[in-house]
Amino acid sequence: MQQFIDTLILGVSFGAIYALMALALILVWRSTRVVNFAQAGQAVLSTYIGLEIHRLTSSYWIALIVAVIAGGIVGGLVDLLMVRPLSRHSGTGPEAAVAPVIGTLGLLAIVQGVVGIFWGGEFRKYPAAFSTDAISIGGSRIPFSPFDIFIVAIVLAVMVAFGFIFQRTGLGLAMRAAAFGSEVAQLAGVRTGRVRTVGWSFAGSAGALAGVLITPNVFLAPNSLDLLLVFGFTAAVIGGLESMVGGALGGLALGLGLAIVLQYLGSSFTFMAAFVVLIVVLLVRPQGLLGKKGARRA
Amino acid sequence: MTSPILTLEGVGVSFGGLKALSDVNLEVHPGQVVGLIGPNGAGKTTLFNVISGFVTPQSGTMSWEGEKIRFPKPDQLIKRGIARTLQGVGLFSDLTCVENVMVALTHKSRTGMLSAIFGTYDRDEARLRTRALEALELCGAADLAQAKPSDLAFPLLKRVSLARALVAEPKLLLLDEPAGGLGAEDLRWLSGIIKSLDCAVLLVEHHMDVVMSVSEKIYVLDFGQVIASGTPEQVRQDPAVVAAYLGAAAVGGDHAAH
Repeated sequence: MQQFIDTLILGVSFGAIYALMALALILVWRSTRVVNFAQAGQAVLSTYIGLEIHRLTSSYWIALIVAVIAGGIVGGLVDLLMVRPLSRHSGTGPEAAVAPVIGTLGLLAIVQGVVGIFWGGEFRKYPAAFSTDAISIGGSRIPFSPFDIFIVAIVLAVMVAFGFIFQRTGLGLAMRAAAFGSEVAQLAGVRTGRVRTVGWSFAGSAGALAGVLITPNVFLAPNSLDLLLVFGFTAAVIGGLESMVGGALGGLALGLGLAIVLQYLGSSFTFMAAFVVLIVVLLVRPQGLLGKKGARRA
Repeated sequence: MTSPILTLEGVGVSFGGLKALSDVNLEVHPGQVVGLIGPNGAGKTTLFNVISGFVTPQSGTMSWEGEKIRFPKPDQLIKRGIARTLQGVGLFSDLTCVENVMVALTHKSRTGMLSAIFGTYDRDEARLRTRALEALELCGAADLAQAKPSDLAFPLLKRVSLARALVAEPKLLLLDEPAGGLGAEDLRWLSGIIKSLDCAVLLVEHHMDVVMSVSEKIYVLDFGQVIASGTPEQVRQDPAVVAAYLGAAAVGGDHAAH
């Protein structure tokens, strides 16, 4: 029993990071109806930028802030320079929905290639803000480190901040409106193009933060965040793709589930397990745990 | 007579080889209610789409408050003082009714990142909400503020979408078939509120009773051309209009065309 509880605790901080990645994918999906495969590349690029800033300044916090800002800028540029022109040129036919998605897949490969050229392909260690050693309480070790506490706290803060922006500000209201009806939103004075780029930018920042938070517990290489993309997407699908709360719960559920798989079946099963969950959810409950039937429409 | 708030001159639109509008001239004066009628496919909605920026015409000019302007983009309309409702309702299903109305004020919202951090957001948000509630009240929908559109009947949704069009206090309101799907009581209410508005109204409507009772001037479109214009009485008696559209019954005063 103790071992099972330890396993669940282990899953919480990973789940929080999956939730963050899910948030990034949901923000883009809601604003543009594009599944952004390049999110893994954007996050890895931002994390390398953070690592470089850390090398120059030796400050974890400056590196964190620069990485998150860089992620936002990169996210906005991906929309402005690639996705928007692709949507415009591919018209309104069935290919219009596909071209930007394929574009993000291509961009993922390009970014990973460029990152490899600049920083090399070897595994690197990204620093943690706090100790990653397990905490001991009364002589018994809990598989939860000060850094894990930091991860959970910062992810919660980000979720609350996004919830606030979406529910209580004009920008958030405009983003929610633009996600569900472009023409009507335009007539209501919403500059839908700008609002959607802001969505990509927020997503880029969220993805960058996820990259910076997960790499101390794994490692950094040009394609080391591919798994995070898969886990983030699975979490988003569990939550129904539209809902940020759903994505957060999906991330947590996936983190706990994968920790159990890791503990009782071994690490070679976790990757497969994520895909099994993804496919089962799509088959059984395609609208997600929180989604309403028919809510997932373009 | 005042100078017109909106003037269209020589507007022509074709889709491929099909002429949707040719050489359309139209004027709306401040505070005036202008009806736009014609058979299905006559080009009424296309003309609305030209004014609201969804369709760019191949020829023609648009003047706003006496100045020639470029045909606007849809998201700039409301800043100019033009609001439009759509056929049907066009509400955001994910937002409550009051939020739906508030969206039309977000372009004025100063709620950026900085104001959120420095705490001026609350006043801003409250101000938008208050104005949205006032607009809902004006449209007799104040008690629907917290409801989601999916829970409401069609006539109520039309009131909410009218509130969203009015909340930014437009100088010109474009109404696209506002009477569609309404019963007798709601029709009376609609006619009443249109007549009571301070702003100019350009109205596309099939319901003849409504158009004839609220409009000061009516334009009749057929095959993309203005075939007649004038007061409701003049239009009613215009032989070209009768031939093209209204039919003998409507001349007699019944609401035949629906």
